[in-house]
Amino acid sequence: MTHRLIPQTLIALMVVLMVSLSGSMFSVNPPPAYGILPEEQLTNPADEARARALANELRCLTCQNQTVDDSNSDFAITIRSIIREQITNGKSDDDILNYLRQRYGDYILFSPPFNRLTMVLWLAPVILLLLGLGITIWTRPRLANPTNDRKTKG
Amino acid sequence: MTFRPVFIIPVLIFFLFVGVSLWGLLAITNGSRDTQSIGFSMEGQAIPLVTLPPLKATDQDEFSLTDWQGQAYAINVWASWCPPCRAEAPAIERLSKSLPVLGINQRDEQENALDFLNTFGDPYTAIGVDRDGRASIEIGVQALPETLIIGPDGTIILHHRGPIFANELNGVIRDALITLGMAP
Repeated sequence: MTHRLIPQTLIALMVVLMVSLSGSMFSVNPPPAYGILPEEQLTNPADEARARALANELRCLTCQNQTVDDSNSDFAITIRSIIREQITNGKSDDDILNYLRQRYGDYILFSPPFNRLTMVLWLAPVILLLLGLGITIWTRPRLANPTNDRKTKG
Repeated sequence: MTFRPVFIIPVLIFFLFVGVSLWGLLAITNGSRDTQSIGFSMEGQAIPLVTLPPLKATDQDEFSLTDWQGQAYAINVWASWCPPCRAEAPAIERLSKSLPVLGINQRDEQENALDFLNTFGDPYTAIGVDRDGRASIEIGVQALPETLIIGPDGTIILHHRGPIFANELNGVIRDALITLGMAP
């Protein structure tokens, strides 16, 4: 009975390992240390919310994996003041993001846009999921009733 | 239980994943993957024409890139508090023999900046003061030092992030000067 569980256990173990490894490789969970200072904030709450949302989408280029909203580096503070100035001047979110992309490329966006270069990045999880589902469906009936072979022989 | 070849697939995917992850981590550790480089520059774009107050009282009232339209020049963004800026000072001196180098002094104290020029030399044709770093971001600067070479039509021919040494002078800088027909 127990030997039938080996593949499932193995797969479960691998999933756990892959998830934990991907966690250490591709993300960090920093404590929420907001870099934003009270005097930076805009008086209009809606504008301020927009500025915060934009700053959260942007990478602080002089920091290690921090958003412009999180960081208190000079670079992040300056970018935040540019965002607020452009919002005050009536610029749209797209205008502001384009201004920054023109200077720092897509790298400044934490969420990379889908294009030729990032296709693998975006599609890999879907492909892996489909592959995993495919393997599961393919092997599952045989795993659920592994005594079939012996029965027919017996 | 009979062995099914299909069981190999998840194992292969697992080891592929481990391999890619290790490669990524090791490449950072041994320095072949530079996590500091953003891999993007202002090259090919038009230089945003910033205007700044001058560093020296003896300079013109205003440091403005509009004054330089129609000729080739370089911009070097530096500060006295930036150690790589000291290291690249001799190379900037050499660059200034080929074309005018405009300095943008970022987030600095005037006194410290002038001390820096006395100590490490002053290769700059003019120096503008970027006290809050806004002009630096306007021209696409990420961190100090950065050097840009601009053609007579205002197009950025070279945007180099980081210090300039002999390698850059003989490489990317020379290439940019050749493009401009100004190679020494």
